[in-house]
Amino acid sequence: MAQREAGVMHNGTRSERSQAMTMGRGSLRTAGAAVAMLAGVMALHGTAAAQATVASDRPAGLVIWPKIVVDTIDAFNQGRTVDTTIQFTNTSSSIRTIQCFIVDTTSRCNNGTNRFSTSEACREGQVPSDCLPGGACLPEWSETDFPVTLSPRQPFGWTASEGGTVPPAGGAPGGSINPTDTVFTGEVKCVEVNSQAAALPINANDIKGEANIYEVSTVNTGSVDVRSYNAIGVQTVLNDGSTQNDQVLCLGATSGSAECATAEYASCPAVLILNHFFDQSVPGFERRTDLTLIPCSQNFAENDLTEQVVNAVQFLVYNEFEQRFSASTRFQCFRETQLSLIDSRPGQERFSIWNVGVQGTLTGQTRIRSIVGPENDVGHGVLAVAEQFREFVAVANGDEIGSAAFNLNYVGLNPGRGDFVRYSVSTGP
Amino acid sequence: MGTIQRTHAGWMLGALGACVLVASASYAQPQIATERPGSLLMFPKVVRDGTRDTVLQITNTGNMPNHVRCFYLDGAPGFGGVPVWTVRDFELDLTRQQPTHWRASQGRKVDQKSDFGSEEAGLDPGLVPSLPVGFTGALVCAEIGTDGFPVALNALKGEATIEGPGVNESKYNALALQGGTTISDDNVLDLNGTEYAACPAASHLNFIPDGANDPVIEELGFDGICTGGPTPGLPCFTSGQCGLGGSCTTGETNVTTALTVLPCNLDFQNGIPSRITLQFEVHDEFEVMFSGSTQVDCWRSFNIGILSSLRSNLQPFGAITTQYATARITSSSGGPFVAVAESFHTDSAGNTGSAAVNLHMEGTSNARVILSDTF
Repeated sequence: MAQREAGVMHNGTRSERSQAMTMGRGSLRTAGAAVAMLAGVMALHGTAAAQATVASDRPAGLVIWPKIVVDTIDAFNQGRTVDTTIQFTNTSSSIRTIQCFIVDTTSRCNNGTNRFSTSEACREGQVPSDCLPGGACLPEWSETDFPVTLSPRQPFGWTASEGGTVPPAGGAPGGSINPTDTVFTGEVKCVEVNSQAAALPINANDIKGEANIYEVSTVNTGSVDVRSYNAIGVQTVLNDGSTQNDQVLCLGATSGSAECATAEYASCPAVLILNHFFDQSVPGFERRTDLTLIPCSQNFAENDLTEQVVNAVQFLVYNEFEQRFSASTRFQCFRETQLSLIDSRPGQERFSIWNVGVQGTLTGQTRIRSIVGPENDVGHGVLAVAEQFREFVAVANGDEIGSAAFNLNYVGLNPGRGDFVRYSVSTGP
Repeated sequence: MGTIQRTHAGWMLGALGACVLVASASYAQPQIATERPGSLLMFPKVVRDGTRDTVLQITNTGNMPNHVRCFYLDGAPGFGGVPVWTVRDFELDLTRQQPTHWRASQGRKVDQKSDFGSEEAGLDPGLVPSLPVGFTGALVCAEIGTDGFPVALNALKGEATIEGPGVNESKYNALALQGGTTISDDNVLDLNGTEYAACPAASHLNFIPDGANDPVIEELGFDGICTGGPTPGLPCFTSGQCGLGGSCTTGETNVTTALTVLPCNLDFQNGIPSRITLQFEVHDEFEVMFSGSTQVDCWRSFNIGILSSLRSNLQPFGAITTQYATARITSSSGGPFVAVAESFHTDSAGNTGSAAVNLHMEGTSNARVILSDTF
């Protein structure tokens, strides 16, 4: 049958040959289309197998340390100093360059030094205010960046207040990191890029990181308190080392967006889940949980607070009776807060839904959801890290505090509503 | 010709369909994670040793009631140093979205009259046995159905807070292994990427070499000991504190790290401990590579400084000269494992702060968990 049809092809008229050739080309087109679809499916398969995700237990192309704190001068007379070490590692067997952004969100008094005469730095919401009378404690936002090139498998760490120098190794030139101010609160983001000169992001997931926050005292016999968390990694969708074409990171795809019609990085989670102890204050003992929220979308190209996204965040709180409460708040750039102060004022924590006195049980679950907006040039995803504190008040050696930091759980996505991280860095021609 | 084309097209569509099935199957592949709810929770480190205690938190993040079966694995060294490897199990019933917690030393009673705000307030999830002093081991919890066999709702998350000594505390997230779409009606949980998520093939640990000085305490805390003068031996951070003729000898801080390893092959039915061999591939900041290995029987928590390749050169025979290093840890025999690390940072006055972290994971490796029969 096949031979006879082939014979017809060879002996047929021109139109028949033409038709046959057309059919042949059609067949090729069919095959081509099938192969293309197959390739697409395989690509999907590859993508699916890779399953780009937001995780703090996998290397990634975008790595975020949500909370870095420094207070080496005891600016608020707490009897202890604070500093943070930051560690990262290139888990790849290739040289990798990363572009890092240090975001300074330290609030400052608008009328000069604080009431402790140590610095302009202040803590928002303090009663009494950290600022001198007539002054206000205002949030600020600024960003500095630096590149670092790491050799294969190279680890590195530095102390935030001192900065550091990445040693050259294995052909990689290393890099240097400037120290922060003596009082600093903020975050660090690092993205894998193709070179220090062009600084274009690449599709690779090789960086892992951790942070250790120290509170150290030399009062009386002294004390040491350390808490650690893993940096949050946002993986690239592709993992082939190819270079992206602009300095806009698309965390998930955004419907109606020309920049981010397709995802380059995993989408930020729709819901964060925090298991925690409810805040508790009884004579001689306090327990509290602090939450640090940061936005997934950031604009480092505009070094201006007003260019940063505002997020509305909702909280669902469950106690061990399965009862549900809710609360909400808004933040811009960075929010570090004790859970009880989300819905109450300092000194009134006992009225909060995060207080044992309200909930009746010692532990609870809080589900955190950011409200997705209609914009197609900015997203509203949020990420977070939590710290829990256990304080024995006025013991022989003064107040003693133990603490631990931990990462939250993530659930779900916001389909079609991605996030955007924009930066503008280039030292090349 | 058209027949051939149709045949080819049909074949291709068939192949395409198969690929789609493969792709979709792959997409549904269950994962192991420390930040996603799962069906099988592993807490690699639970301690109740008289100075330290562990608070365990488990939450049902789903909107369906969840029945959970948990196993305490005692890995404390017994006769001749061989791990005890005893197992005790208990069951929990969690309502939708219910969090619960208990202290390892106290367990949790069933008491409907617990005082408001007390340790056991809340809906009683079930009786949790207390652990005796000397317990060091792990906790493993699996979602089960009404028939007692495992199910995969993928709704459990957990945390462990290790308290003490004193006011210290360290916290880590439980490792959650997601279940697949088909769970067989038996007590054998195949961690193969299909029935349940597979375990990681390798884990990565960033660390300060064991016995190295702590970079922050050296700058901000008591980092020295007085020599000479009127107060020799007292902690100090400047020579002025050591009195006339005394000086403060710095470099007296140190960091140690404990690595706790739980093999993924767990046979609670027959009580057979797994023996695995860990391989460490260590890199310092100059990209100098070191290696080492050690064995784990059943469960083990050890100071990484037992291996010279993870020890600071400030210590005898220590290999690492830089402040930070990284280790890629694999199992060369006995199957995969999960692990957590806990670092201890000590100043020259003897004050210690601790912190726990989950390790980063890489790749997959199959294992099997066999739950004991209920009869």
